[in-house]
Amino acid sequence: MSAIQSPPENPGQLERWVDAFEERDAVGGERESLRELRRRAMRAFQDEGFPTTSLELWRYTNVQSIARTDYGLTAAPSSLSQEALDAISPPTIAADAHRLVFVDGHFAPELSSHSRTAWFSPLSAAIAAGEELDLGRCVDPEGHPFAALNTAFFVDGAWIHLAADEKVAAPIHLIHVTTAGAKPRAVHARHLIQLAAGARATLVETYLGQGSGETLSTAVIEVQLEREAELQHVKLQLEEENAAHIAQGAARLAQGARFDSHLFSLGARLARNAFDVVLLGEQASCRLAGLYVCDGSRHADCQTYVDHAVPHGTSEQHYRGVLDGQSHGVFNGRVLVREDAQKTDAQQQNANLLLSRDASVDTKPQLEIYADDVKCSHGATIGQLDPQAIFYLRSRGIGEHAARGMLTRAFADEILDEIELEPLRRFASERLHSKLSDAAASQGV
Amino acid sequence: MTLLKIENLQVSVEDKPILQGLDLTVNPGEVHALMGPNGSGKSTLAHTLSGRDGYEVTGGRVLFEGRDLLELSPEERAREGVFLAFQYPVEIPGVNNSYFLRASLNALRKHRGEEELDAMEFLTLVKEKARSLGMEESFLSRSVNEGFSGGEKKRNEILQMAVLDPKLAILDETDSGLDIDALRTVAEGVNQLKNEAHSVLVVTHYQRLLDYLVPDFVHVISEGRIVRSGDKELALELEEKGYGWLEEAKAGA
Ligand SMILES: Nc1ncnc2c1ncn2[C@@H]1O[C@H](COP(=O)(O)OP(=O)(O)OP(=O)(O)O)[C@@H](O)[C@H]1O
Ligand SMILES: [Mg+2]
Repeated sequence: MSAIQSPPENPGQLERWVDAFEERDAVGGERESLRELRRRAMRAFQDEGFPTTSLELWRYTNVQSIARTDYGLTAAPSSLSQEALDAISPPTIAADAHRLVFVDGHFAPELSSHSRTAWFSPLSAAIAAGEELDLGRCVDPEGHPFAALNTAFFVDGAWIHLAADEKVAAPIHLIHVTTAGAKPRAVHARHLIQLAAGARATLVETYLGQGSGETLSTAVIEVQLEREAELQHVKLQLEEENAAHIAQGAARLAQGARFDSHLFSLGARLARNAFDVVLLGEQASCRLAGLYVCDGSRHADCQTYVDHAVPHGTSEQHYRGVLDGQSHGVFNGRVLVREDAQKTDAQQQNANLLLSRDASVDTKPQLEIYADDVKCSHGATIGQLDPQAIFYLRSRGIGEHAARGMLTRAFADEILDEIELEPLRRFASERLHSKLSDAAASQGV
Repeated sequence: MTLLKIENLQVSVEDKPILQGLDLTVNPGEVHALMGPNGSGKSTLAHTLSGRDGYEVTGGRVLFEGRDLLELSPEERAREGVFLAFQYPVEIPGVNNSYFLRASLNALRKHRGEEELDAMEFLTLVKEKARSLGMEESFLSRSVNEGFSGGEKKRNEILQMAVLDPKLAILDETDSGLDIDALRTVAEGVNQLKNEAHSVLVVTHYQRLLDYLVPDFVHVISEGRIVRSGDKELALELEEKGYGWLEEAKAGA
C-alpha cells in the first residue's frame, strides 16, 4: 500500500525497537510460522519507519511524538489487584458478561471470569501449546506500521473461536488496562476472532488506562466470519490524557456473514482507530459506526476501508464527531466497489459538530466504484449548534449551557442509541454526557 | 398591577428601524389582539419581548410586573412567565418532545422555588394536557417538531403553553394553517389562561380566531406603531375594509 518510503524520522528510537525485537526473537520458543510472521513485520517496520504526514493515510495524524518517545520496551507488565481494577471502574456491559481482563497486554486470569473455555484461549497459551494460528491474514504488517509493531511484539490477547452454529449468548468483554509508570510504556493488544459458519457472538473491547504517565497501546483485532456468522462488536476507547492509542482492526466476511461494529473513541490524547472490512461472499453485510468526542487538544482519527469484492454486498458507515477546545478530528472513510461487485449497496455518512472556534476536523469520505449496477452514497457535514434551536430552548426557560448540552447530546445519541446492550449503552451514555457537559461548560456560558 | 407596559419602544433590525415608538399596556386577565399588514412589525415585537438576538432596542422601555424586561436573558424571561408561541416553530432532531418540555417546566419550577417533577409525575401532567388539547400522545415521544405538519407544530406550541402556564402568552399567528378543530383548541388554551387571570397577546390576520376567543382590545400596528386601538368591533371592521384606510389616513395627514 505505501510504496512511498520516507526516511525514518528518528533512527535512534527506531534502532531501539529493532534491538528489542532481536533480543526477543533470540529467545525463540514459538512456532516457526509465527516467528517468520514477526520477522516479516519487523522488516516492514524497519523499512517504512514511523509513518509521516507525507503519507496519504497519515496526512492528518502526526505520530512524531510517539516516534520520539523512549518507551521502556522490555519492561515487565504490572500486576493489578482486583481493588485497583475496580478503582478505574471498567463498565459492566451485562450482568452475565464473560469478562476477560488484560493488564499491559498480558492476560490476567485472576481478574477474569474465565481462563479457558472451549471458545476462548489466551493467545499466549495457544502459542505456547504450539497451535497453528491464522494470524496476519486480515491485517498485513506491510503498509500498517503500527500493526507491524504489534505483530512483532505482542505477547498475548484473546483467541476466540466459535464452532459452526455455536452461539455465545452472553457478551464477551475484553478489558485492557494499560498501566503507566515512571517510564513511558508501550503495550500491544492482539486479538484473533474466528466464527465458523452460523456462529454468533457479541464482543466488546474496552481500553482503559491507569496512572498518568505516558503510554502507547497498539491494538490489532482480526475477525474472520464464515458463512452466515454474525458478530456484534463494540469498542470503548477510554484511556487517560497521556495515552496514545493506535488500532487496526480488520474483518473478512464470507457469504451471508454479518458484522456490526460501534466505536466510541472518548479517551487518549492521540487516538487512531482504523477498521478494514472485506466482503468476500455474496449477501455479506456490515455496519461500521462510530462516535469520537474530543476536547482540549485531543486528536482522534477514524479510518475505515470497506472492500466490496463480490456482488450483493451491503455496507453502511455512520460516524459522528463532537469537537471542542483545540481538538482535532479526522474521518477518512473509503469504500471500494470492485468490477464484479454488482448490486452493491454502500452508504457512508460522516457528521461533525464543532463546539469551539479552535476545534477542527478533516473529513474525507471516498467512494471508488468500478461496477455499474450499484447503489452507493456518501456525505460529510461539518456544522455548529443551530442558534435557532438554542434560542427556542432558551425561550422555554432552559439555560444556555443546558440548551447546548441538550443539543450536543442529541447529536451524539444518534450513534449511542444503536447500542443494544442496555447496561453498556447506559455506561457509554454517562461517560459521554459527562464529557459533553465538560465540553459545554468550557464555552464559558 | 400592570403586567406588561411597553413605552415608546424603538427596535432596529440590521440597522433598519422597524418598531418606531410603540406603546402598549396589558393588565392581568386581558386578551389583546394585534393586527396589521405584513411587515408592519408584529413578529419583531414578539421576538423583542422574548429576547431574541438581532433585535436592537434603540429607545423606549418594557416593564414586566414593574421590572425591566429587556435586561433579562431569554431563559429568565421565560422563567418569569413570558411565553412566545412562534410563528415558525423550530425543528430539533434528536431531542425528545416530552423530555424537552419536562426540562423546561422544571427550569420554571426551580426558579419559582417549587419541587421539580420526576418523569412519572410529568408524564401524568403532560398526557392530561395533551388529551385536553386533542393531541395524540405519540407526539410526546417524537423529536421536538421534527416532521410535524404546520398545524401540528402550532398545536405543539399550545401544548407547551398549557404546560408552562405563562403569565403572558404571545401567540404569533398561531392560527395560520390551523384547521377548525385546532383553532378551537388554541382558543380553549387561551381561555384557560384568561380564567386564571393570565394575559394573552394574539397576533393574527384573521377574524376567525377572534370568533372563538374574544379579545378585550384590538390594536392595529402599521410601520412599527400602534395606529388604532378599539374593542372586538375593530377586528370586524378590519375584516371588512382591509388596511387601505391606513394609506388614506397617512395621505390625509
Ligand atoms: N433579519 C431581518 N433583516 C432585515 N429585515 C428584517 C429582518 N427581520 C425583519 N425584518 C423586516 O422588518 C419588518 C417587520 O417584520 P415582521 O416580521 O416584524 O413583520 P410582521 O408584521 O410580523 O409581518 P407578517 O404579517 O408578514 O408576519 C419587515 O419589513 C421585515 O422585512
Ligand atoms: Mg410575523
